[in-house]
Amino acid sequence: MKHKGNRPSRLGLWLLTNAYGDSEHFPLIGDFEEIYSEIVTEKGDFAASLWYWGQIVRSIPSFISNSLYWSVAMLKNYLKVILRNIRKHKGYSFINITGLAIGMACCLLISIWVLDELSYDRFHTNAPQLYRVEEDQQYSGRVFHVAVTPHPLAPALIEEIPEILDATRYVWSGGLLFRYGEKAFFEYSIRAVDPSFFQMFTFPLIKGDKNRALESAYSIVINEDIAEKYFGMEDPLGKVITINNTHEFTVDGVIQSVPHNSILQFEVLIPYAFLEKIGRTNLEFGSNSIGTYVQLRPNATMDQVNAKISGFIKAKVPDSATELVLKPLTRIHLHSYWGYEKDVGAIQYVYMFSIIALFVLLIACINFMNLSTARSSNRAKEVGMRKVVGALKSHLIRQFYGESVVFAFIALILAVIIVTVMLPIFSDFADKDLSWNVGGIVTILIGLTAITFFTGLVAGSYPALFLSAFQPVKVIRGALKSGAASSWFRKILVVVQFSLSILLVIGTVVVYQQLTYMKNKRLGWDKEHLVYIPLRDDVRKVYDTLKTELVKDPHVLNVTASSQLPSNIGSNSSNFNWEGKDPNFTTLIGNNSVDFDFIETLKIEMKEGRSFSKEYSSD
Amino acid sequence: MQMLTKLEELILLSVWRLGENAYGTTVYKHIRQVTRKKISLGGVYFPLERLTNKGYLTSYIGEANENRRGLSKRYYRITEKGTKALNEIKRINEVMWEGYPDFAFSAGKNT
Repeated sequence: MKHKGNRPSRLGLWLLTNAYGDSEHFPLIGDFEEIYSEIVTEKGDFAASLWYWGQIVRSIPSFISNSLYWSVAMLKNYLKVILRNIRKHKGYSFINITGLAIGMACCLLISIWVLDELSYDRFHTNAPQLYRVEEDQQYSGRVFHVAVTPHPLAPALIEEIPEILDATRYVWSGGLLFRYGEKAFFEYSIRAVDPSFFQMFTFPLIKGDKNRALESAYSIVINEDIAEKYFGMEDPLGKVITINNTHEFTVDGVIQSVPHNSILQFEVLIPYAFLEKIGRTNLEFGSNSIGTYVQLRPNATMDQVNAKISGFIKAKVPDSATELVLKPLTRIHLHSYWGYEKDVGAIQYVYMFSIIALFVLLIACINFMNLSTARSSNRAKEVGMRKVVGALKSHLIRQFYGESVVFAFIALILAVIIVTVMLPIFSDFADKDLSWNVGGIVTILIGLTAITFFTGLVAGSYPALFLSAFQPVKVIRGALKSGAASSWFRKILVVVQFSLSILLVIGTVVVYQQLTYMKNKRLGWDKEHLVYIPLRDDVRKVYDTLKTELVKDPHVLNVTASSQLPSNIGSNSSNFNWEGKDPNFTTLIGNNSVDFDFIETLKIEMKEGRSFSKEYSSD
Repeated sequence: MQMLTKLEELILLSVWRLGENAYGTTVYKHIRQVTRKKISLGGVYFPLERLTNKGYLTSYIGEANENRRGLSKRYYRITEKGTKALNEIKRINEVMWEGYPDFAFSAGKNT
């Protein structure tokens, strides 16, 4: 060698040749060498290699654009081959792509549902500090858990527990008659709250000042739908709504409609102070009927406050055995329970559906892999021909991987389209307002893309790695046998796929039978040919007249009245005594006040005794 | 007729001027010498390739010498189309430059 200077490495030469597209005889590198040797003789080795490296660095932009050009060109070629394959094997392509797409669509829909379930009440700015106060009531050693609390609890907690920053009562008020001018409707979704409600929760006001809303006992906050219903295009602020024809409320603010993923659902808010004015409060700590929500100070922990408040009721009512306990607002939707049984709450459905989503996706992926692998055996001849024409093993690997990955991605795109189309129907079915715009959907989509990629790679590995390794002569002469390893792999996949499918089918059948059972189960009363009419305030007074008139109708067999629906008795009490009762024994008994003929009308089967009757003066 | 870029024009002229001895290195050196600009060696290959593809130049693989580690030269020669293009450029340039003074420092500053 004439020149022993720091000649560029192979990487440098490779960069140069690829950047400028050098041809077979490397005249380009020759030119570089020529100038290099000239500089060596003129200025020495160092200057020469500096020049050479400078040239290489300057070639990098061209190198990048050049390789991009070739990648795009190759991609175009691959896509062309794939489209030809799809056109040639229409049935196969259809089954394979739609199979994977439907699986992915199911998985996506369930994911959207799950993410929506997980998103409940997280939109409040103070969400981490917000809690609902709940009660553990003790009945002879058994704990009855409820989420209702005494009326005076909220102000008492703010006063006595320093960790509690703020609290509000949340009272279900029942239906009220609203009137504005000619328009009068019964409104049902009404809650009475303290003014601190808007400081604690994030329900943005479209109109009005959240710092001053609900301060007066006769102010009212309505949502945008109610505002439109009563005031149309008029500005609702300052307008007066008459409630139950007696109380005049001034509109203080208009809020956006409460999002569906809020555990607190209401259309109208009235001040708790109003309930005090009309005497609908209860100052006893021993009774409980309303919701209490608190906001802790940022540095306070739930355990700390729980320890302080657990004996709070006992301190006020010495013979009470009720303990208070905080429930984080964001956990209410999925983790709350009511009554004696401490069940896990709705979170079990979230787990269940997540698992089902994974199973469905797994089945779809396995199916895709099996179909791709099975068909690829038919392409051995194609592989042979390609090799004869000059394809390298790496070309074939790239082609087959690319092909199955593209197939998988077509399926992914199809899945996204299916989900977009199905989302409104699915929302109806799930009784939710679901959309793509749900927190965490980006993660799911990234995950799904990764899974798509992985599925494509696995599905493509058999033809890419196994077929491409064959000698063309053997392949074309038909001496090719499927490898034992790959057939084992496929057998295992098929077994897993079928097991999972059977599991899901059995699950569906069980759920269906359970639902049928629930529909047909005898409840102890006959719900056929039974109708109920809710009676509002004034009408109750004329119930007897109504009953007499109704009984005259030949279509009516019986008429009775009940304070609650027999399928939904919400009133419980432990305040019962009977002969022989252990004085220490306490239990909750549901109670419902009814009119005569209740037993007859509902055709309730009596175990012992008789029905209420007018013939007994004691009834 | 499609217009050539300035670099293409310069390269086409270089190939014509170098005659039998036009290949990558000589074209590069000639252009550097005339323009006194630090263009890169790789920078002349794209125009050469483009001009060849468009039919202004032809190329053939020639001999190697010891300075090139035994790698061949790729010689370029101007085609009839290339000559026509140069004639056209010359005509345009002469029309465009007609009457332009050598020292025009005061252009645009008539204060």
